[in-house]
Amino acid sequence: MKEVNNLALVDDDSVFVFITSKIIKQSNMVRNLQVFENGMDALTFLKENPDKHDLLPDIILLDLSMPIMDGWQFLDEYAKLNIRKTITIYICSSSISPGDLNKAKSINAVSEYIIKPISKEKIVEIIHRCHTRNGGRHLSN
Amino acid sequence: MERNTSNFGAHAGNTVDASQLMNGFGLEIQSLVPELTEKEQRNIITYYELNKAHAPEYQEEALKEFQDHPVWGPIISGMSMEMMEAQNKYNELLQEAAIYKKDWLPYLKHLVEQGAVYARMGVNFKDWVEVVLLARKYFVRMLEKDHPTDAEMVLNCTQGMNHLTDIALYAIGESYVIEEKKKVEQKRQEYTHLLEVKNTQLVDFCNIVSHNLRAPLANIMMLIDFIDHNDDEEEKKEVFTKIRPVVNHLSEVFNELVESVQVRQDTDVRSSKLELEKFLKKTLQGFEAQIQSYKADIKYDFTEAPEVIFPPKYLDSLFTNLISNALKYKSPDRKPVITLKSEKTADGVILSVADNGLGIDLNMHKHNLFKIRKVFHKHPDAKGFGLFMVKTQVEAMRGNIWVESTPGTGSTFFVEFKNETDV
Repeated sequence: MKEVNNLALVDDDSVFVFITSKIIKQSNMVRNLQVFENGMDALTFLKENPDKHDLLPDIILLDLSMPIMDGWQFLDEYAKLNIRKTITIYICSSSISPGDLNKAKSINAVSEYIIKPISKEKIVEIIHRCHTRNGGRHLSN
Repeated sequence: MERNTSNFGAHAGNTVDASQLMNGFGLEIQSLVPELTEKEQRNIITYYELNKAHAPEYQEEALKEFQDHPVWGPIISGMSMEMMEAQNKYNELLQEAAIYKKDWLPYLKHLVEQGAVYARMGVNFKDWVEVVLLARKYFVRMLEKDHPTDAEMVLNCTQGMNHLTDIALYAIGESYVIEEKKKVEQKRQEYTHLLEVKNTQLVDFCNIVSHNLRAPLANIMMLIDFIDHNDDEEEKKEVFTKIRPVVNHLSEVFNELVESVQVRQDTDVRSSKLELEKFLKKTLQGFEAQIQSYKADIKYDFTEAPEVIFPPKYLDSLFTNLISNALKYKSPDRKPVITLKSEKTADGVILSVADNGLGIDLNMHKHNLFKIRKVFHKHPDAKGFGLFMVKTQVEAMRGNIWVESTPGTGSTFFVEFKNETDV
């Protein structure tokens, strides 16, 4: 039973992407898993598809420390976009620095700061939350 | 004998900018202006006039007395008669204005200035006290010899002398306080700067630990967690193979961190005079294959500043990293040209390494450029450790490193070497 159409991982860490993808696939709750290696790739995708709600992610798990364009720069650029679809952004970073945590709090677009490692339970929880917010409609397989 | 304390006035070659010296200390000088009773005023005048009347003979005698003094002797003998006379004249004018017209400030300021000059020459305040006490004794001796019958006059005169020389001593003492304050303030500023630098390094270091060490650790935790909660043996095996590379990576980052900490604490590292050309040629040997295959053109001009004072190990790392970066991030459209140049500055040398490569978008990457494990190009060799290490090494030697760049045109790295790098 898929609860969410698109979930995007924006992370350059191939091991994290590998294991998180496995967990998400196992949960069987997400129809499409999108992976972007850095903020720039994700941003380009959003810019190219601003109106295509079925392509845009419902949830983004955003890493902070990435090459080319890091998570903060992505959030800066994201704020300038005109996208009408509600995208829930979670920062998912290994950083425990209070500076990063506080900065995340000050950004409206960020729903929550998840410190890596992320557990299967947490992933299930955020998908559920998104599903409930969307009115609990079950997506047809 | 008050004259003697101030005879050793502004020394040859030492000019003091009075306005600069008084800046911020006006209040202290003002507080030195004495409030005299009528009797004290009279005594000072008695002393002053008597001293002035006998000035030439007293002075000659006094000079003999002080010429063997370990501190004042050499100072006196370093002054010409004309200079001494001119100073005495000036001093006399100021003293008279103070004593007769109660216009103390110019005289006190003059004393404070002189004190500051001698303080900077290394004369201790103790030496001033000593010279004043000697002068006092000497004056009383002369007074008693010249006026054996007039005890009251001798007493009044002595009191006047003591009073006037006390005032002068306080003023000179004040200049030592001011000098000391300046030194303390300067030290404080140095320490504040040092603390700021150390604090930035510490914050950087915490970020590195937080970002770069926790990331692989979190991965290991997730991988193991997955293995623990799954029954599919095939899948477990697949996930298991991912652990070792992460552990290797963790160990690598850890070693880099240790290395960078060692640079910061490497008190044994010694700078020496290094010939840039010799070092560059040595470094280029390691890049020979790359230079040939890219047909890279490497030019250098170290004529203005052929040498730098720097640890050999660090200069090696600096050249290696900057050349390697310039080659790594070459433009696909043209053959690489790297230009190195050294220039003299007031207190060191600036080395520039310019390339015609891909360039860096500094608007986006300025803050991350020299940080550990930050890469800005989709380049398979980019590791993000070289520039971090070079910056750490340059800063450990109190130098600076920065970059100017235009994307698509090229980058120029600048390294500032300080002449005196020993902390």
